[in-house]
Amino acid sequence: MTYVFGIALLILAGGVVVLFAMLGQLADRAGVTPSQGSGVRLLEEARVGHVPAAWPAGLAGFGDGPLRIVLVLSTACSSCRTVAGQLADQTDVSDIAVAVSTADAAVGAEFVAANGLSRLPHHVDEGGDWVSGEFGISVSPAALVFRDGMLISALAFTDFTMLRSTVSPTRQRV
Amino acid sequence: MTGSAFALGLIICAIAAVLVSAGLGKLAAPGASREAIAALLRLPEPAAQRAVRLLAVVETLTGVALLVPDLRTAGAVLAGVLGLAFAGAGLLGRARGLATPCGCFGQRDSRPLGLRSVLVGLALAAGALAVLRSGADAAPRTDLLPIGVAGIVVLLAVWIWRDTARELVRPRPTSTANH
Repeated sequence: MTYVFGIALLILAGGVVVLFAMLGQLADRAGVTPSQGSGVRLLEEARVGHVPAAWPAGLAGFGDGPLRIVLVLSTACSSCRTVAGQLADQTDVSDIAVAVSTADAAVGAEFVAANGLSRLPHHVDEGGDWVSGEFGISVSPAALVFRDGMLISALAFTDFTMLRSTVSPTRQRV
Repeated sequence: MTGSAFALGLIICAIAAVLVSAGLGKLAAPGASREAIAALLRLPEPAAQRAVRLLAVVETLTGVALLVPDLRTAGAVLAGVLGLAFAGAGLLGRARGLATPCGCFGQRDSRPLGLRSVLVGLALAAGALAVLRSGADAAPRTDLLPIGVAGIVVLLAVWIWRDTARELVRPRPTSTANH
């Protein structure tokens, strides 16, 4: 009887694994799809107008400027890897920083190194605590746009070029 | 129940839980493992997909076999072979400098095949050897083993997908509009 009960529990536990794995895969696929217009959409849940209480050491002083963009990339998201690859080919990235959202800081550090992001101001955001706590954003890839240290817009995107055509320091508009 | 028998029960539970979690995770979300196997063995995508499915089924069945007294010896042999294969994959991944996440439990948010895979693989092989040396009938209270495995599987799942779990329990603002 105990054996049958144990097997039933094990089947339920297996169901939990499958559920988490499928949720993880869904999160991995989440983001903006090409069918959604330009592939860039406004994140309504963002705390626009918020000035973060503190900037992480890797991003210290970055927000103080006319227009600055912090890209939120997750190590668990395949489109974030694509965006990171696109960043490696860019030369004009003086207004860009990266917050790498990850469950494990070591995995985040490997993501930064593997994608050549160390040339940019960057912060490994363990658990996504800084980004979600300060700005209410739990979507990636996302772009947080700052002016003089204040969040003025947050966008979900999947293509860096598309994002650039929407937010540009020279066009000064979002 | 002697201490050594209890320890053996724990080893069986741990090996079975790791294998069942890895197998079911890969079956449900094979994408990351497929990319890792394709990069490691330089296989085309369809072949890598078939390899991941086969590996996932073998892992799951091996984990279950460890819980059935008549199949425990075969399960321990397979677990040892899988452990050595994981260690070999870790060495190969490290030698080739793979950056692709291993997706060992189906999650993309994982480290590439490397030193950690070698250590986990060797631990699995050592555990399997301990089970083989003790004999199939040495484990205590075989009827309790599935309960132990179920508990470890759930704990492992919550740890591996802790971001997802955290997101599920995170309080969300409620809407105050339209009253």
